[in-house]
Amino acid sequence: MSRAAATVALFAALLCGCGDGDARAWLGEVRGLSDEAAAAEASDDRGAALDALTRIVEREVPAAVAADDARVVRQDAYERLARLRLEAGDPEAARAAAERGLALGEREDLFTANLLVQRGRAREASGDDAGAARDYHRALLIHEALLDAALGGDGED
Amino acid sequence: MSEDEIEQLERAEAEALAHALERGSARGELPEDALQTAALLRYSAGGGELAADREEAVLAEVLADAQKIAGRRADAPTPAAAPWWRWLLGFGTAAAVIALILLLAWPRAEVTPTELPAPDPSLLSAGLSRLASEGADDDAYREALSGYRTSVYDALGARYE
Repeated sequence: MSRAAATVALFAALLCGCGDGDARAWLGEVRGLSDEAAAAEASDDRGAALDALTRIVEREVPAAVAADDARVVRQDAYERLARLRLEAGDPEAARAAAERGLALGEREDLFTANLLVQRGRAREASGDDAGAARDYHRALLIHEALLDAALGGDGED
Repeated sequence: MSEDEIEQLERAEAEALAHALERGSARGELPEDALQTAALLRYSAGGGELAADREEAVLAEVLADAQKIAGRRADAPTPAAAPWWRWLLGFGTAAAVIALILLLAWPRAEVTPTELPAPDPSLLSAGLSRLASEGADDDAYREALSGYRTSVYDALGARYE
């Protein structure tokens, strides 16, 4: 009868919020890694920062976490990865990181705008000035829209 | 061997068999199979009864064998009919597996996203400045962004922790 009890317990655990525990663990882990990356960057340890940020984007996101919440966390990590790659003189890797971040979904928010800026810089460093200009322009529009909203404007002026 | 010789041999065997049946003893002409036939016929003619001591021995042997078989049957696991709870367990497990698959395959978009704080105007201004002019202070923007990141993680923490 122990097998039946285990099955019922598993089923009950799944229905009664085991997913919440996963979400909590995920958030705790990615937040810790984000802080770790910031500390490593502050102490000029680029390797440790890259490692921590890579672990954020590779960490599996539990089903209980809203897709857009996961996007925000991962886009922030990809933006930082792209910047570090660019600072290390690797525009191709920087662009790849920015594009992986943008592939998660483009929204009218700061995280998408920051990724567009990093991709624009990577394109600029690779000699693709037109592509860079397009990315900067899109990032500029997002910033303006956000600023309008923050200042209570309607965005038409 | 000629036909006459065969006939003569058969006749001799028949006579020997008749003699054995009649007298209870065989002469030299009787072959082995004829001897066995004669013994069987004599046994059945006597009513087929066993001697009392032989009968007891056979009975004891049969009873001992029967006891051994009964013991083996008692030791062997009894193939009982599946109880009702086994069926229930089977259906319950199947239902749990289906529910698990549905739970894992449920689209994540169904989970409502957290309402994140809006970025501060000073952060947005710093962002615009770095875009508007080349060589703008990226560090100032980074620092302001770090504060915004903290507030975003705080909002997520309030939701999930």
